[in-house]
Amino acid sequence: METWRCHIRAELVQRDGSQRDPYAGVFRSLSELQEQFEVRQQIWEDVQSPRVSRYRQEALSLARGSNTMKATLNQQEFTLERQAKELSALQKEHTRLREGMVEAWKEKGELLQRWMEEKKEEAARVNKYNDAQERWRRLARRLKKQLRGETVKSSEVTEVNMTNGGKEAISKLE
Amino acid sequence: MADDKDVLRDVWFGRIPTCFALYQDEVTEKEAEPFYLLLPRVSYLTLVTDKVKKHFLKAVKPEDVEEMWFEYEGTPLKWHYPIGVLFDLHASNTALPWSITVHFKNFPERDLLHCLSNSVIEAHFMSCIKEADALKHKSQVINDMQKKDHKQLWMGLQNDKFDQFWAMNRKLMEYPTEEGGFRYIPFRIYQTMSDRPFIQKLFRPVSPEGHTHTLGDLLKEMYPAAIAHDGDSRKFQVLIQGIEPLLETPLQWLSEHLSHPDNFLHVCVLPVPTD
Repeated sequence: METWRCHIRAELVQRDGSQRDPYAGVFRSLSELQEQFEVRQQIWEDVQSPRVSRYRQEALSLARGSNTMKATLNQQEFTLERQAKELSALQKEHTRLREGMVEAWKEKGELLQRWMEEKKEEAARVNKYNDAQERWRRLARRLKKQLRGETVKSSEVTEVNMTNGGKEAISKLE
Repeated sequence: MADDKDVLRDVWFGRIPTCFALYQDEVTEKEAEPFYLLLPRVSYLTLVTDKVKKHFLKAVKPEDVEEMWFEYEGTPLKWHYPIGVLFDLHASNTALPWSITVHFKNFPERDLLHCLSNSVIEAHFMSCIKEADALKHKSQVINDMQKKDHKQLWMGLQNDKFDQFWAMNRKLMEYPTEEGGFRYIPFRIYQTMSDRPFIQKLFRPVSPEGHTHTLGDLLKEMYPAAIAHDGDSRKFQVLIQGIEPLLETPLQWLSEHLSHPDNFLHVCVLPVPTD
């Protein structure tokens, strides 16, 4: 075989011996490991995927609950504010009514006082009237007694005089 | 016609251990672990890095994701060069694994071609094959193939199917025995010390006098400095498929056996490391 041909064959063997062969095994193993790793990673991602989906659903549900609670809280705050305003208005009304009531009590007291005084005056008048009536009855009784005593002695004329005199006396008393 | 099938296999199954790391400024979501991959020398970066893209997209904000591109020590890597060529040209004398930086932003429009789908790579690959056959057979072989045959070449490369690819590619490697080789050798000479992307000229496998042209003849004609000596030591090393063939190697044999699937012989010339 020609020298140049042998040289080329030997050079090719040496080239592959230094460039390809020392690395072929480890590169092949690395490539296989890489492929295995990618397959496992894919499986892991597939397994993770349903979990992620479930967690996403839960997060979504919690977010919805949170939104509902926020809306409720807003509603409650609105109601509270409205009721606070109403309470304030009612307190003002209450104060105003209380003041009115104090005024009314005061007026009632005054009226009662006036009524008591009126009653007192009325009682005084009734007492005065009763005293007059009593005096009148006592006078009437005395006059009747006096009349009966003199009936026996006097005549019809006396009886007439007695009647006129009595009328005068009564009109005086009245 | 290829007769050293084991050489073809060695060429096809050449691999480069590579460590991909996301550019630090683009790590936003979470820390991205490096991604290790054995890259086929004969394929294209954007054809074999779907896993790399998937791996790093997890660490980048979706709004920050633009077209993925690669860089090695500040140099954007041209996806339309075979991976082996990129490695030999930029990183052949560095420690393995090859450290490539991955970017998803600030696409270097001036340096790289866009590659938004595999159909772009397929178009580039088929274009190279057609160009190579134009040089080798005046396009007769590729034009005689059917659409499904073209597809078989592409699918063989895309799916890393050696037998599928070579069942069709062997037709592209045939030549009339009496002519001693192809009409012209499809080659590209890359150099790190030049702004030119590569040297590509017409060069026959056999001289007008009937002598078989060698790799040394090609370099002497196209890039004499590549084989110049500085005293006893060479100034440049010449790499094809990650190896240094002897300069007396026949160019026709190299074209048949060490060409990339695009049917071009990619020759990298780089300074001999000083250490």
